[in-house]
Amino acid sequence: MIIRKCHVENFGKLHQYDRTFSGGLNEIIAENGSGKSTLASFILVMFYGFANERTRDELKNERRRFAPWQNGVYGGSVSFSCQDGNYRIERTFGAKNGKTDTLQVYDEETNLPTDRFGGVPSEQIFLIDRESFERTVFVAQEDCGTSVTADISAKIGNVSSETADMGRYEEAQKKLKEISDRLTPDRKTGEIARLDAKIAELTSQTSSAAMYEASADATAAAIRKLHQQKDQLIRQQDEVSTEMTRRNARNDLKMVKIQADTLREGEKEASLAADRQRQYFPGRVPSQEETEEKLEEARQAGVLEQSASNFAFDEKDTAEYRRLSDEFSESEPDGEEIRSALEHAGDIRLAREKTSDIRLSPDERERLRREEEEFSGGVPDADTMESLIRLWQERNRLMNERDRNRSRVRDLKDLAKEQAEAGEARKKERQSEEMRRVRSRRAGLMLTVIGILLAAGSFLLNMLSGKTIFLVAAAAGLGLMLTGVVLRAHAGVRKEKAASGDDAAHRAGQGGTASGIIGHEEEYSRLLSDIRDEEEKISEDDSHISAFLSQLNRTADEDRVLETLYGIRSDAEDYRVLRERDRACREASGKDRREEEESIVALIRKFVPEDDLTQPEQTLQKISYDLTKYQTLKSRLLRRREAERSGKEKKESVRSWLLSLGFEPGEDEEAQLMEIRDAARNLASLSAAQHVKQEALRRYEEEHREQLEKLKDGDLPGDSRTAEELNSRFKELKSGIESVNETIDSYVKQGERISAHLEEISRAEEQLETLQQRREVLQHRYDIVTRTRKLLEQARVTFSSRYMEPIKRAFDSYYEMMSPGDEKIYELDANLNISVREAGALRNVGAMSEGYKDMIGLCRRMAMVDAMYQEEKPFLVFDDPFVSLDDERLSGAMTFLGRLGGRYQIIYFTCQSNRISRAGKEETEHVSRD
Amino acid sequence: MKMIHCADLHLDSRMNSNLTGEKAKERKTELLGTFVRMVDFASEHDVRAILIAGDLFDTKRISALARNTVYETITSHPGILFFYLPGNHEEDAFLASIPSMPENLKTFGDSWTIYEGHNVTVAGAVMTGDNAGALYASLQEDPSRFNIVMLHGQIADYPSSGSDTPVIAVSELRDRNISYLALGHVHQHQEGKLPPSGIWCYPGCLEGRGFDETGEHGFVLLDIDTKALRVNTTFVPFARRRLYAPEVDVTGCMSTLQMIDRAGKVLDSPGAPGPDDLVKLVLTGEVDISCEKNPLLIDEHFAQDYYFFRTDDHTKLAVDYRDFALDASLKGEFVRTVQMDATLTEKEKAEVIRCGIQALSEEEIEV
Repeated sequence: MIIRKCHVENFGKLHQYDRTFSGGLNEIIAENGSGKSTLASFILVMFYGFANERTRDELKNERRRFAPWQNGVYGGSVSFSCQDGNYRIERTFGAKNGKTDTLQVYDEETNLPTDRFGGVPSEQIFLIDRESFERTVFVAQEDCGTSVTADISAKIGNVSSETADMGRYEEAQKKLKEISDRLTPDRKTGEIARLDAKIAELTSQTSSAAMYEASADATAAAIRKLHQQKDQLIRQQDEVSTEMTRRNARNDLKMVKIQADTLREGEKEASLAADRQRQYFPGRVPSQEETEEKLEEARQAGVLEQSASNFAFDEKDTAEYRRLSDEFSESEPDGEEIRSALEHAGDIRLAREKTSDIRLSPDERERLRREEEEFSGGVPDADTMESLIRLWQERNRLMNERDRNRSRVRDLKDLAKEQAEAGEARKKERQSEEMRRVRSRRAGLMLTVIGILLAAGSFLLNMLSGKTIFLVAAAAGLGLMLTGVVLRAHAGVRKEKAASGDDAAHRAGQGGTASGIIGHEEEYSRLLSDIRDEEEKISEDDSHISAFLSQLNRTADEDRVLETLYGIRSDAEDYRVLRERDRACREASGKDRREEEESIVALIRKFVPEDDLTQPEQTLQKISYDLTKYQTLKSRLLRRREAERSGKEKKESVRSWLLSLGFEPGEDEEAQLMEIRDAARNLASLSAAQHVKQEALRRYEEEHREQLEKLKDGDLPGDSRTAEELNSRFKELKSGIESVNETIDSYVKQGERISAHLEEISRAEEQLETLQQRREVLQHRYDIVTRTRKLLEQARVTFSSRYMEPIKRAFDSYYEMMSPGDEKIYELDANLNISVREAGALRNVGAMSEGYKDMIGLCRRMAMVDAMYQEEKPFLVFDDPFVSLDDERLSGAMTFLGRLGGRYQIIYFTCQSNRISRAGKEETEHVSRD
Repeated sequence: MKMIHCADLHLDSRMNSNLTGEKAKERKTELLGTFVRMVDFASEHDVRAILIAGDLFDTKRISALARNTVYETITSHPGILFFYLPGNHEEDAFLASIPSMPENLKTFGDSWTIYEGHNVTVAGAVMTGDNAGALYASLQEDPSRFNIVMLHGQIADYPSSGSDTPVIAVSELRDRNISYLALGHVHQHQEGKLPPSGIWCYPGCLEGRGFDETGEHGFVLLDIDTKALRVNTTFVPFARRRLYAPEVDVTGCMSTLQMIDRAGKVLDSPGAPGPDDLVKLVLTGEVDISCEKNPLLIDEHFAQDYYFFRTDDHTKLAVDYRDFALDASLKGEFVRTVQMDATLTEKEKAEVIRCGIQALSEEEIEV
């Protein structure tokens, strides 16, 4: 590929610059600042666009750096030949950004745009990116060094873009390295390293498991041992307890013996006591019931004796009894009969008393008769009288009301008369007034006319003469006129008033009401109506009262009617009372009591013949009293006799009973019996006690038969230790057991703590296991990735080594051109880096001088370009690359340049004439000078 | 008379070999719950005794919860006898930790302990390598009774030494009038004949704890005719949850979705797990190195259908080295380089190749 020409419209300091190029070496010599580097950059930018567009640094930001100094269109065109065609790139650029950039490739054959090279033509033409271009084809000023890019490697490897995995090698290794770094166990940030740390931590934590388990085992063993110790103590305690029990058992035996002896002793004493008591009885021993029965008999005998003496008569009683016996010698009155007679006598007396209360006196009888006569037609009841009285009272009220109304009517009539007289007077006055009013009107009219005339004339005169006097006159005239108007108006008002007064008077005079009253017509009518009603009612009432009185043959003046009615009411009430009393009295006296009286008399006569019967009731009471007394005395007598008999009988019974028992009856049998009773009771008690003791002894002997048998066998064995010793030992053992329990508790707690630790350790172990599994997985991944990186690198080296040799040869060839006879040994590695072997070791060429570095760089570049472009060669741009070379090397460089120019189009810029090619001059086609 | 024969409950087991965090704790608690349910079942079905043939607990370190739960379950069912033979996992840790020995808890030592009642004898001993001979020699049962012998260990035809696990030799136990040999240690239900007329039985563990314990788990219900001296055994599946480890051959699949589709067919087949179960889906077969495979996506797809779901990738990456023999690109060079590396296993080579190709292709790197 060659550039044929370029046209710079505006690019940096270049303005409307054109340049044509030929194949082979094109040397452009120009002074500093002439734009050589700018032209070189123009060529680069035309194919690859601007670099560093994002930076603000104006030297690095190419768009800004190469902005036209002269303004105008920023851009240009480059014509080139490539792939058997001639093309032209035309580009324009925006001053600030790429929004207005234009890029078009034209086919110069047709001069039509072509998209043969796509959107980025340079990459299609050179098949490498800008960086790779700048590392190979384009040698910028003071930048001869180079490095291998992915595109360079790919180009060198000659693989297509689709399979340019060589181009992705760096990225692949970067990705694998990222994974490796992320996983690495060698750095703290690596996942495996972090896992290792965590695993180490957990391992450390779980390493104590054995210790804790041992502790747990030891604790369990200690607990077991303590349990054994405790069991032993318990056994010892049981032994002591057993011994204590045995001791207690021996003591129990002793107690049994003592108790048995005590019981026997008690039984014996009880027997003796009972025997002693039995001796009291000469014969048989009476039962308690029997004794009590006899004692009761003795008591009863005493009571009866006492009772008999209580019932004995004294002299008085005897005399009285004799008397009453005589009185009732024939027969004893029946108490019931006497009581009945008494009752009847009482009733009779009461009846008599009652009638005497209600019997009418003579005056009362007379009054009754009179009233009976008065009320022969019927006696009015209280309610009737009450209503009549109220009627008359109401009637009187109506009378008063009527009178008031009548008075008012009279007043109203007087008023009407006065009103009529007043109307006449007013009429006369009105006539006078009318006369006055007419006169006023006339006067007013005259004054008005005069006033008008005077005023008019005066005004006229004033107008004619101008004298003030006429004005005065005019004023006067006006005054007169006004006065007249006022008079007329006043007369009108008076007329109206008179008219209204006339109306009233007219109405009064007309007599529109019967009374001719003005303003009280309604009242007058009402009063008349009321008076009518009242009089009607009064008349009615009068008739009613009059009729009533007539019934009773009574009359009364109007002013005495009320009094009469009150009197009638009182008489009626009196009549009712007297009549009732009379009736009751007749009823009470009419009852027939003769039969009862006769039977009373007969009864009295029977027992008190001499009684005068004036007070039968008292007589009967005396008879009843005597009867009671007689019966009482008689009863006492009978009872005394009975008591005596019964007492004697009982006494005899007691005595014979005593004799049957072998006792001699004493004076005081009761006391004796009590003594016997007590003795029997005592004996019973003692016998019972004896029995109880016998029974207790029997039961005790039964319950403790074995022990008693043992006791029979011989003496009880002695105790090896005293109770105190045993107790003390028991307490000691108990304390020991408690202490062991406490120790066991503390071990148990310790065991629980250890268990808690072991739980934690167990959890840690679980976690550790999980992490270890995870680590294994990650380690495997890491290993695979690491091996992949290594093997990929190895593959790349192998891959690269295929073209290493040709590049090395080319390098050596170019180096020989530039530095003939130089014996330095250079070596090329798979990354196409050059190292120098000095003093037996490979050295970095970066440490060499600038001249050597530039030489090495150029040779390396060209070796790579040779390898990259096997067929169509690209053009080369050299922007004064030999500035660092010494004269000897410069000569070689010129040879290098000349030979290169035989195979490549080279656009070579320099400012020094001694840096143009002489050797191989015959090989160049054209040299142009500026 | 009814009895329950169970073993290998491994209560207090951590359960974290497959589960993490809350689920592991939950399963641990469920294990205890299954034990309590079993005792309730016994109570409801007139079971007279429960034979626990070892490994009731997983370790000597028994948590307070497990200890208290077992202790109180025993004491709250005084009508049921618990014959407890300690196993090699817990030794005597439980017995040493309880406050007192309940009346209905019968234990065994390292020599024969015999319990008799209702014409049934229950004998048991903790067998070790040292006492096996003495135990065999001293065992002789009354043929007029129904004889149950409890042991914990691995059954074998003949005695063996040098093993950590006690070996129960059938040859030494035959013709000793053993009606029912109640064993523990093997976690799957197994039965076999014990001459002359007895049987040996492993009830298996009550609940599967890992994916090596798939299938049914529970206990064996014994219905003993104490007069005829016969027993009818019934395996009662009783586990709260079951474990499944179905394999899915994903050979030929090129994407995760294709694998999900294939897995779905396997999980929908008869006998497939249900929502209460634990599933470990095992991907098998060969997949191309360029195959897009994301086990996490498969987990997420099926996770809500089961109590626990995990995908295990056991696939092999299929690398046809011939495809890369003439590949001039870096990728080809890389594959050839890996192929020649003798320090890598074939599996590792496939993984490295896949990793490298994914890196070069700017794809998500799956390792």
